[in-house]
Amino acid sequence: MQDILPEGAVALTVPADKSMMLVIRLTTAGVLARARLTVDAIDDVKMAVEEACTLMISQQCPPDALCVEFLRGEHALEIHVHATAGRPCLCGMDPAELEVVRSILGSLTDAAQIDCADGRIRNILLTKEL
Amino acid sequence: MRNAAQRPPMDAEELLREYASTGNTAIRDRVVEAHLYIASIIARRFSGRGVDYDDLFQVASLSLLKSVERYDPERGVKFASFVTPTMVGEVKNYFRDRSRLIRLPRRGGELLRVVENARDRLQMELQRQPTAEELAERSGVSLEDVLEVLEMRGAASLVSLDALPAEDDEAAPLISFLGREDTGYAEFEKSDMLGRALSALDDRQREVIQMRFFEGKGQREVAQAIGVSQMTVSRVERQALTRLREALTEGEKA
Repeated sequence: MQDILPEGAVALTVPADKSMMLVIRLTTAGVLARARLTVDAIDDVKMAVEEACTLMISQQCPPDALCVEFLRGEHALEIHVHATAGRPCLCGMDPAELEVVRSILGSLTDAAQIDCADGRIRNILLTKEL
Repeated sequence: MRNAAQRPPMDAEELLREYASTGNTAIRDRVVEAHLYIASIIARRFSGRGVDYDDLFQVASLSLLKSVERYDPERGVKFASFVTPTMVGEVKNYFRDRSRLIRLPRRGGELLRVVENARDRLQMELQRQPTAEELAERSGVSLEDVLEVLEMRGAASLVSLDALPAEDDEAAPLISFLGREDTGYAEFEKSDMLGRALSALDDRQREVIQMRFFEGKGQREVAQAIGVSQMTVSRVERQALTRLREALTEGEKA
């Protein structure tokens, strides 16, 4: 989560609505293609990003808008999914289920972290090695 | 098993070590049952993409069963950490296989064929999956086209005609919303033509046809009913049918 995006970063802010998934998927595909990922990897990461966004949207108390940021480093692409300012979110998942979801996201990328505190998901970080 | 959310209150690794040495299937079943909640979570998270929860749960559960046999506790990886990516992989493959069963619109279908062929060739040449850029270059299309066609392939998913359009069990299945040819007009037309053709017969012929084909009587019954021989009925019937055929043929031409 960056206040000022570094050079080459891409940030997409959309209403927290399932109808926005196509926009998110296509943007993700474009960014990943530019990072020269293979087509299978693109498919997997698209699914992971969609899943991370769905996780944010399907919270007990979902946010108004979602932000997906793509930060390209030398060796890895980081994708942050988080809610923009608005009403506070409430995850509604127990830690064990959240851990399985994190593991699902991790198996679609190279690593996944879910930053959840006080029952709120603050940020989901997906890392794909380049 | 829709909400098989039981957490494993066990040392799965130790149990699987025991299973590997004894082959006791009761131990295997215990481990499988304790981890079905992962299959349940995976199925729930991946459903809504054109595949039913139950199908996904089944795919993930089968993968769990296979994972138990393949798991090696000596590698030091927790069973839950081993099994989750394996189940996700199986579910992903299931999605990919299903999406290939769909016929896409002509342009998309042709483009997809070009891209898929290029992908197979490049994979053999490079000994790895090609990048989207490499695919675009080999296929002679733009990067956007490649991304679009890959997205289109993912979007194509099968839905059963028996599926309900909503979760509501009272709703009618999709098949009941399909249009069908209404045969009523054709039937009406045929009966109208037949009525006109029957009027071309004389009274005796009409009487025989009525009893033989509308009332289902045998020639002997008809003969007794109208007081003539069976041979006469046969002759009258043959003449009547010839006349009817001619009248109907003329009616169709008109």
